[in-house]
Amino acid sequence: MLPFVPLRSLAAVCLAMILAAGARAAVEPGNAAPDFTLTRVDGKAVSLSEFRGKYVVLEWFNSECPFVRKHYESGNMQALQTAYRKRDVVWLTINSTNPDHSNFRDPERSTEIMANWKGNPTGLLLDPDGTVGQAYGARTTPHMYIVDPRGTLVYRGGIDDKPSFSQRDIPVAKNYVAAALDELMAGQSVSEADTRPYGCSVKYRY
Amino acid sequence: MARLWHTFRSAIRFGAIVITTMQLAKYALVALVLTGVLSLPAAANPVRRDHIDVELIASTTSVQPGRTLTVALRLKPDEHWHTYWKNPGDSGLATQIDWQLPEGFRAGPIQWPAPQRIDVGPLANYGYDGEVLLLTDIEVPDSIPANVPIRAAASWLVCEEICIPGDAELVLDLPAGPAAADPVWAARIAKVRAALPDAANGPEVEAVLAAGQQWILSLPRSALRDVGQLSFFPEEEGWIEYASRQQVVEQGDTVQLRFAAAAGAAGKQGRLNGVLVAMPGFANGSSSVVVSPAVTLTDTLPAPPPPVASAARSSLTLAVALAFAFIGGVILNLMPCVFPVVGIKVLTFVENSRSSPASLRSHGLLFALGVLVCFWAVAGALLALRAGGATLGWGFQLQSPLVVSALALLFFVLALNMSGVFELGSRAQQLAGSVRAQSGYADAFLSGVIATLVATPCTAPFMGAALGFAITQSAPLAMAVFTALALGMAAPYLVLSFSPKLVGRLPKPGTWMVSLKQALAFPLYLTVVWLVWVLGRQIGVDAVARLMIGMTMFGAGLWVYGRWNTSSAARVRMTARAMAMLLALTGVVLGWPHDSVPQGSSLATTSGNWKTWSPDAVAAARGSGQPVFVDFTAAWCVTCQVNKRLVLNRDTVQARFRERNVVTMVADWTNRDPQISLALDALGRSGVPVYALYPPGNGAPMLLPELLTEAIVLEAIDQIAGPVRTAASRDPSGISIDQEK
Repeated sequence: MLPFVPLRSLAAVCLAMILAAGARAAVEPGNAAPDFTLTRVDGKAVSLSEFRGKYVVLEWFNSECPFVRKHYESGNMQALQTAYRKRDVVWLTINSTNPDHSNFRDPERSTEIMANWKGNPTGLLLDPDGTVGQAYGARTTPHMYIVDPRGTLVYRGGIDDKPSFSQRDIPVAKNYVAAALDELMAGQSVSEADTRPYGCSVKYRY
Repeated sequence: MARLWHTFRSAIRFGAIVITTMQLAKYALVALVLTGVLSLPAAANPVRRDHIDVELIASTTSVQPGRTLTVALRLKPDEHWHTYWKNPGDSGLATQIDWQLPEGFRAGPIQWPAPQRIDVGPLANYGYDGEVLLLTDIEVPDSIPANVPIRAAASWLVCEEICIPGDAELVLDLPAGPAAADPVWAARIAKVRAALPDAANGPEVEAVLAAGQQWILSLPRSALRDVGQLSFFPEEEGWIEYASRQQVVEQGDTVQLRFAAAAGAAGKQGRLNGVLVAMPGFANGSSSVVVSPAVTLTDTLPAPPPPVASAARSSLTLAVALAFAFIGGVILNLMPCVFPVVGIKVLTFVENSRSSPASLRSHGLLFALGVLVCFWAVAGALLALRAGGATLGWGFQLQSPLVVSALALLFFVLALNMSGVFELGSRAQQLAGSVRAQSGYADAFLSGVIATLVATPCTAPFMGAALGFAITQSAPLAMAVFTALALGMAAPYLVLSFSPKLVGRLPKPGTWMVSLKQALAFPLYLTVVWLVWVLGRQIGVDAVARLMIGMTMFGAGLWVYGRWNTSSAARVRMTARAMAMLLALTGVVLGWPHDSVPQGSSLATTSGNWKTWSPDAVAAARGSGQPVFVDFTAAWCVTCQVNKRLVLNRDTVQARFRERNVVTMVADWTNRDPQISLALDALGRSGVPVYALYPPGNGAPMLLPELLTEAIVLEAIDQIAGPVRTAASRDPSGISIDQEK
């Protein structure tokens, strides 16, 4: 007689697969930040690992999203980029919109939009397959991450604590990214390292 | 306020005539007050904004002092657009209301109806597809003005493929007076209130966080009207993976709901607050309840649910499975690959019609034994391999190019034999065919074995379910099902061999038998062509050429044998045999399939609309609100090819798939593919063809019969895909404003 148990373990594998299909990989603060290489809108390839030794901010971006517009049309995001890049922080703005979505903007158009906004990231990167976005579990635009000089993720979450599309909320909101970077540069750990992001869904391919 | 404004404007209009100093001062004061008020956007009710109607309504037409007033924000988006629940899920934004009420009035929180899950690719949102009434109770003080302005600043996000934020300043003026039910809204509001998640009488729910990865909510089975669908919606961020599939598992008297935890959930404080929605409902009559279980942490993940528990699995009882297996076995005789063997068998009976009933019975029994032994051998091998961890299913034999080649050669040899190219032995004995009753016991057994071998590619109707059941059972039960199948296949011959009267009705033996036998060779040649095609699909056209050279050599050997083996000269006979043996061996060596089995699909590029199957692709398409049709197929499965040609690729069927926005996928099992084997397992099947139609979202798939007709497929599509939709593809709940013209 053949044992019944292995058939059960087969079912376990099956269930694991079903769960895996539904679940997304995501990194938590404290985990190593997955390395990636993406192409900047100006054609240059950029890897996360080349910025070892510096703080890196990852900003998920979609120029057509009202929540992203809130932070760019108010000048809030550009001010953050400029202020922290002066303090040697690397700022990578990543667009994971898939090319079939109406929100997709090709490199030329993306460059133009960022220039119009006078945005100042270290690089605007396109992630048309969404692989980097999904590796980080990015779900909204904006969705913010901070990687420390050793390559560890130290913050993930929202840009601030006022989930709204109104620019009026920006002055009264607590900016989590600025707070985290200030704490890090003062040698402290991040007090709120995992917050809720708000915004548009990332336009992944499916 | 609106009335004051009206008065003010009338006053301005006629001011030149009626104005007095006193009045001027009074109006100046009013104007001052109003300037403050009017710096807010102009209030209106109802309002139409992009893709949504928004309105403030109340259950009564007047406000009664000291009595609670129920008002509602009515959001009525365009068809297919949605707004969000208090926890919007992966993205989106909850609708917000800021109340501006007269002195002494106090608004409670929004009473959110149970949300719906709205899948967006790998993400999930919680909200309301279509109209929703957000109820708020307002405490009314004992002394109120004659006219009560209920003012609300509402902001929302309304989404379909793109999302549009909106806000409005709404005002509802109600006179003071005894509360009288609003003729339009009182009943609607009462209905919404009755359907709110039941906070008072919810069942006892336990929450276990297993290994920090999986949530297990348990509730007594008696708390449910019936075990159907359950969905949990967390109130707060960070507890659960919103897009995770939620699975219902029955464990005795307990029903569990399992889903993935958010990374970091184990570190959170507090209770798992949320709403549990049940279909067809809870025993207390409500369809959703507020739950707030304390969290228990455990280190180990629970055992996976028993394989037959989920709705997708066939819940066949043993008796039904045995019956299906038997019927399937009978029908197997009519399948294209078995038919020539049937012909030969019938000829055997004709030839033996005059032999003794006892001899006939032995023949029938031996044939049945041959079938049984072969089925046992194949099934035993399958079970043993699976027990060893291999992911195989019925028909796995044909996933090996070697087996396919060997079968092609076997069929070719059988066909040559029937064509009369050679005959074995001096007594015109033939491989699987007409044999003398007194001498052919071994052949009767052998023909049973061969019939089974050639039958395996053709998973007959009913067999899929029966075999799927068999494989998920303990080994003895599995063997019982295979035995029933074998008996079914042998049944017609057993019946014939045990009833001489029936045999007597068969035509008398004669030369027509030779003609029929030779004619039956041609279906066998076609079978050879098909097997060679399968091999080509598996390892390419070079292997096909080698096999055909090998078969030609083997055939030449048989011809030499047949031509000179009956020669009277012993030297000629010996030479002929040696030559034949040499040629046959050369044929085998040349035809041996050397190439390694390529992994992955070989039929993936069949034609236009069929996409390559993967579990992720299915989940993603369903997540985006599309139904999915999966054709689990293989090159070696004849039924599959027939269904594809005659039904699935018909214009009418293809057009219906397009109209109903059904994603069609091919899962090609021609070569070994563990992923497909597991998917078949999950459907309660172990062989192809399997046709599964998945509804959008989470529902259980619908399994179609293995022999398709156009009507069956069209009806199934209509049933699962619902009403016709516009062709435009949807991307619900993505939030964006498309500003490009």
